[in-house]
Amino acid sequence: MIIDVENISFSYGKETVLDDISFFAEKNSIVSVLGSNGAGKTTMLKCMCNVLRPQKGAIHVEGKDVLKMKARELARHIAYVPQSVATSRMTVFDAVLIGRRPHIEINASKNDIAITTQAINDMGLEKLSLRYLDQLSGGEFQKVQIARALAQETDILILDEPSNNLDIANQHKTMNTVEKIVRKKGVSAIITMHDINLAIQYSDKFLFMKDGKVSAYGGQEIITEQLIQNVYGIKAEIILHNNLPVVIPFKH
Amino acid sequence: MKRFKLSKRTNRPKQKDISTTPKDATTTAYLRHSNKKRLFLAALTLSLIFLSLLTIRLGGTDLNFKQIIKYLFAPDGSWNSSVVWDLRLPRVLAAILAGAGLGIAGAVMQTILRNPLASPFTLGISNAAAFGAALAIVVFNSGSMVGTMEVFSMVSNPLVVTLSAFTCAMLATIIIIGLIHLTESTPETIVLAGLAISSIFGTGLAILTYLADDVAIASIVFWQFGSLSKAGWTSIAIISAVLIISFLFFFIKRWDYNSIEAGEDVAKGLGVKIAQTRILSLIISALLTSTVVSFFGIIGFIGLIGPHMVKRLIGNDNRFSLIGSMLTGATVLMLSHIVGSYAFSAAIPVGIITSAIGGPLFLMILMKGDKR
Repeated sequence: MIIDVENISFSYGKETVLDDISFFAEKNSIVSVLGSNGAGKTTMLKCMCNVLRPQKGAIHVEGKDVLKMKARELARHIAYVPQSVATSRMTVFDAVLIGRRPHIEINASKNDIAITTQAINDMGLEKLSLRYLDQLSGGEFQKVQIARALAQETDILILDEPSNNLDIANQHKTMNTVEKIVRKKGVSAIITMHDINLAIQYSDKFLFMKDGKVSAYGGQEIITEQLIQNVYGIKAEIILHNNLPVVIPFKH
Repeated sequence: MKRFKLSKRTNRPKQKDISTTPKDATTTAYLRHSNKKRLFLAALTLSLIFLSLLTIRLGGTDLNFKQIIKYLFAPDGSWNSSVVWDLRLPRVLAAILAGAGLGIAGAVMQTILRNPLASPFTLGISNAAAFGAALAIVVFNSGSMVGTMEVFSMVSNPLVVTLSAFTCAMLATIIIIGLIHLTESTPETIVLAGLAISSIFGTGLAILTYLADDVAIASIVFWQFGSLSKAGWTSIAIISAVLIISFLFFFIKRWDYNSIEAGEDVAKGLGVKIAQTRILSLIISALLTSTVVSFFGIIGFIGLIGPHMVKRLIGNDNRFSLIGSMLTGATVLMLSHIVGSYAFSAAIPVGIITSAIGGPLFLMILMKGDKR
């Protein structure tokens, strides 16, 4: 087990957003976090990388308490790609090089440059490396964010809706790349997603959330028509295609 | 839920050294691109040196470059040597230091507040300093008419006026920091609060001007016009010290600023202590600005013009843009000083020239929008 979330709760003032959440993720695995809008998915990811501090519970990364870790040390273990990232007049290479910040003491070393280059090449961004971020398409920009997380060289990747705003081809390209990285480097990826069928194709485990609570956690076998009804409040049929479940929501 | 035994491994993830592998095209292109940025900064430095020598040359006493260099390195107490050392060099150094200080302060404010319109002028710090100066002139009776407007200061007690200006500028900064942290204000909207602060201190300034006698009004008006003719070796020494310390702090924080360029959540995820970085950076930028403004009066928009020119030309990478903003700030202020001093039949304070350039630029940025 690489990351262990134990009974965390978080609230904004009196409004409880996360209520006693527990789950764990193992190395070399992809965990999809699913649930309707406002279920607390993003808040949970932010708590996991200490962007938000949960009021209750604990999170351990390789046995270490995340809440007691120094920010820089935690950034060497967890890379976080938020849902919305600001664009600026910075080149792709420089934007990816920022991922080395937790490792850089004074100046970027040759090794930092080499790792950044590799992350850029892994994401297929070689030809765009000197282009400014504000000149990129949505798909290209998203790849830069993932490349930055790769350059961070952590054992946990936390991605908040990486397939958002991407067309079908780019959704699959992005998830394919993430899967390859996870398998090649043996890291753990925790990803929030809205497209349940896309999640099924690439994930090892599924965490379903509703109203700040865990509805179900496990492999493909937990995905049932009843669960979809409970989590999303809609009726759906689940069929098998190439041994993978496919969720087909009914028209209302 | 089934739980596994926690791993006891506590060591840092091992870093694989891949720097020894042959450089590929991406690395080569990047290194070449970085060298171009360094070349740009070197060219800016050279042009600033040339412009400085040109500024020393211009004026009533005719001096050639050879003489200037001779007097700079071997002052001999002659009239010409005195012109260089006592009259022209202080103004040139003042232009470099004030321009560099306002330029880097503007660049840092724009990054930490994530607003391209943030600058010492738009955040109300300059107006607060002007109010402080007017307060000292009226209340402490520090104004008096001495000599002609261009040559001598009309402020009889510059220390009190400078300290008062500095105190009010820092007060404006504390209000801004308070607004960021005690209210729900987002850094992006803080420029609007800055405009309100500017307006409040502007009203105070108007009241003081209304209450002041003729001599005090003349002193207030003269102080407000940012002018390098107020430069002296004391002010140069103080601004140099503040600039060096500020630059070192900003330069150490350059990776944090680059992370903040990608947004708060990204920066936090990279281990940046956002609140601490933002407060310290804002305090130091304000300290730098108020030191410059206290000595030379309001020199508007340099903190906006400098960083925007650099970001357009070499991008937002703070490893280069911080130094670039200093150099462009100094260059623009030096050019404005030359235009103000020699382009018209009568000398015009440099603050008027920079406002004439900065105002339209501000509108241009507003109309064009920003893609952040």
